[in-house]
Amino acid sequence: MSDQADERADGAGGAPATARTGGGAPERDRVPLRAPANPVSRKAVALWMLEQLFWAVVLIGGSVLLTRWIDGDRWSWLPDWALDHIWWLPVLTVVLVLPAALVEPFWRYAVHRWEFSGDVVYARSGWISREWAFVPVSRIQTVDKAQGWFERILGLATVEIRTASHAGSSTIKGLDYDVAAALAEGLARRAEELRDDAT
Amino acid sequence: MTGPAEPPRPPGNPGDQGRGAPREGLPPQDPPLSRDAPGEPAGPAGSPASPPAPFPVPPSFGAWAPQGARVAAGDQEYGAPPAGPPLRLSPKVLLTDPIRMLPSLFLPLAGVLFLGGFSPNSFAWAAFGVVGSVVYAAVRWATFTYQVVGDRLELTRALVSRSVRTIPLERIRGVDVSTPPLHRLLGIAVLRIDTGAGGDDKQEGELDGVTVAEAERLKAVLLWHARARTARRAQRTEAVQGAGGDGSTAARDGGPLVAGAGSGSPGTREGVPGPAARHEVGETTPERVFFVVPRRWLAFGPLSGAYLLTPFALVAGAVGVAFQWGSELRIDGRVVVGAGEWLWGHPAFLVAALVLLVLAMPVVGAVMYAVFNWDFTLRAREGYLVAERGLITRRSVSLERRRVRGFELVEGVVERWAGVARAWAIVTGLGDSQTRGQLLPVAPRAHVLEVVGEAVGPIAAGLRAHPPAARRRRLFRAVFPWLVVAGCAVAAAVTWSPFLWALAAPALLLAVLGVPLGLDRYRSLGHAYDGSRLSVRSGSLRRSQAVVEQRAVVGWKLRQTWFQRQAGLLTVTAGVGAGSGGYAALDVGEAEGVAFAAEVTPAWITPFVAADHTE
Repeated sequence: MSDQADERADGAGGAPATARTGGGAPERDRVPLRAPANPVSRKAVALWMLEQLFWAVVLIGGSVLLTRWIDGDRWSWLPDWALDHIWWLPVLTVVLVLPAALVEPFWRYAVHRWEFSGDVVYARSGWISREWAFVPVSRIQTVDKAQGWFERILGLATVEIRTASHAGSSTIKGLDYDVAAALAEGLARRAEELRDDAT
Repeated sequence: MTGPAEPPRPPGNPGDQGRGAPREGLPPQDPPLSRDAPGEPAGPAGSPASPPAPFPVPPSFGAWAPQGARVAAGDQEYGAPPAGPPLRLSPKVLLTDPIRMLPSLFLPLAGVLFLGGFSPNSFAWAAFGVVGSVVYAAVRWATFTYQVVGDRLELTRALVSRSVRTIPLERIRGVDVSTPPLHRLLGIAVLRIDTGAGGDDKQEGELDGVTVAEAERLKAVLLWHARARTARRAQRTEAVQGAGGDGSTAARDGGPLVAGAGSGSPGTREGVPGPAARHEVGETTPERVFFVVPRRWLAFGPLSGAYLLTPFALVAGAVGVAFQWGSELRIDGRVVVGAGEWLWGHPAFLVAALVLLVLAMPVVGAVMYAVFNWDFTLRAREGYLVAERGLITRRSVSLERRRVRGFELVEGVVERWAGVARAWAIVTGLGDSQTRGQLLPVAPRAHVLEVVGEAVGPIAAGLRAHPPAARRRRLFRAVFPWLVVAGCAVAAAVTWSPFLWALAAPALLLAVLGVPLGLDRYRSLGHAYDGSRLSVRSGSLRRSQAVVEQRAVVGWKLRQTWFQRQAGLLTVTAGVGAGSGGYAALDVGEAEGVAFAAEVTPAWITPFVAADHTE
């Protein structure tokens, strides 16, 4: 294997070498799978942060509006104690949403990793829940490279690898655009070499 | 394709695109077989219906190439697939089409008649509607033709603009012939072509209203073509790989035998284990009946819970009809409402009606089930599994055996108690597989296993149990939600109104029932691998065990939620390009889950297993 994609990824990712051996959540990794070799781009943290903050703003704004509505109309079916303390609702939303929005990107960065071994694409993702995906190159049907709105600003890209089954497909987010392009290219080339019965 | 068979076609035919274009890389002299190529973009593997891929999709037929090639050798004929003239549907559709449109026409017509009074004017409008629908059907009939051209079925509709739907025969995965009552009366049938285009029905074709004989003929032609086409392609691929570019011409011209005998490239078939060779499509097996379900087994039907709610649906439908058409039947809506109020005023009648309905449930359910599953017959016919059933509408579904990847055995809780089960085939690219892939209706478990074992493969025995932590999780999930509901209801009942005890009691009861349910769900959990098939089982109220061939696995997904992490469990899903797309072993131990995946497909997983976990 030793595809271009890997080499480029190693260079572009620029992750500290310590992250490589420890894996994402180092406390106690009892799942007997080693961490995939490559981290995603550092800029992915910014991407997730942007996304999370966007939703946090939407949620907090929504809760403020809802509170104003409830407070203004004094909804009759709500008990009095709830109406008297209705302004706790947006405060609670802020307390719940904001820390999650601030923590999740870094946590995700620790977990999200990927590897292309020539025959298999191995990717790990998630934060509170985790997911390991193994996609054999011989079964791949399509490889898509996509860039969302935020990704475009940050120069990132997402590689979507699809097989005939949703459970055999994988999406790797937050790769540097060059890395994603090289990975998609490498996958396509390798898949052509590995023609196999892919139903 | 030979010259004379080429039908006269108008020049600007949209279906013609690419057909006239010379295919690059092919020598000019190759006579018959070159015709099969232009339907697809240059490569040996792509095809018009496949999604745009950045690289050619690997050929799906490598697995059984030798068989196909052998058949090709024995049957020289299909170098030149015949192209019939464009055909029309049976003129009898002029009768069925308007009648089928009648329900949708009925309300507007009735509306016109009643609202407009029974004046000549409104009769004229009604007549206009009826005549219009007949004319519409006639125009549709006159402008629709179908034709097998080379390796394609073309459905041409020239109503306003000309549209041609081209279905490459090689993509046809099954052909259903069904005869709704009216069609049966007239001796015509509906032919539905399944191309397995992954859900988008643009690729599916339907011929509503061909004579039964024509349906049978067409079905035979379509399936035969599909087989011949794949066989030929496999042969060509083989030849190309065996002898390089020039060899392909030689093989095509003179020696299919050479191609068949060629060793082929090991690369194409390397990853495919033995069982792949089992289903030879070209093999001319005589028709063979696996099983005819005895009529007395129809009595098992209600055990599956199928159609049990029919009485209620019927009543709801009747009430709806009464409201809708009440005016036409000279029944005022107020009368209906009045009747309802009267019924509400006499609870005894209401209860009696309810009891009656509940008592009717098994009976009506059984009747419906019997109507749909009458004389269920499973037979094998030339590489296909054909399931036929139905009393009024006789429905037959053909499943290509080569695409069968396994089966799913389903048992409800009552069915398990009675020792019966149902089975579905897991078929690649079969849409709506829950109704169409059915191999057997409710039947005694032993018989189901026997028939399925013969038609598809044996069921995996010796499922490995999941760790005790999984039992805790099953129990928690079965009990806790109802406990929460019960707790809230009790709190509300104490503070607000005693009426809520009525909610608390059933919730508590369900929570208590959750204990045996959770325990049974845990007992159901299991996974196994016997060297060529993997199997996973889960569920209690609807216990389902899937058995899937190893070669059908296209990937793995391991998931672990935070709670599973605390319990040291994870869920392993085998991605399968057939059936529901993925079959999951729920709550496997962490090490066992990884080991399971590694056992089934060692090459894909073992490189990533951590070195310090070699237990």
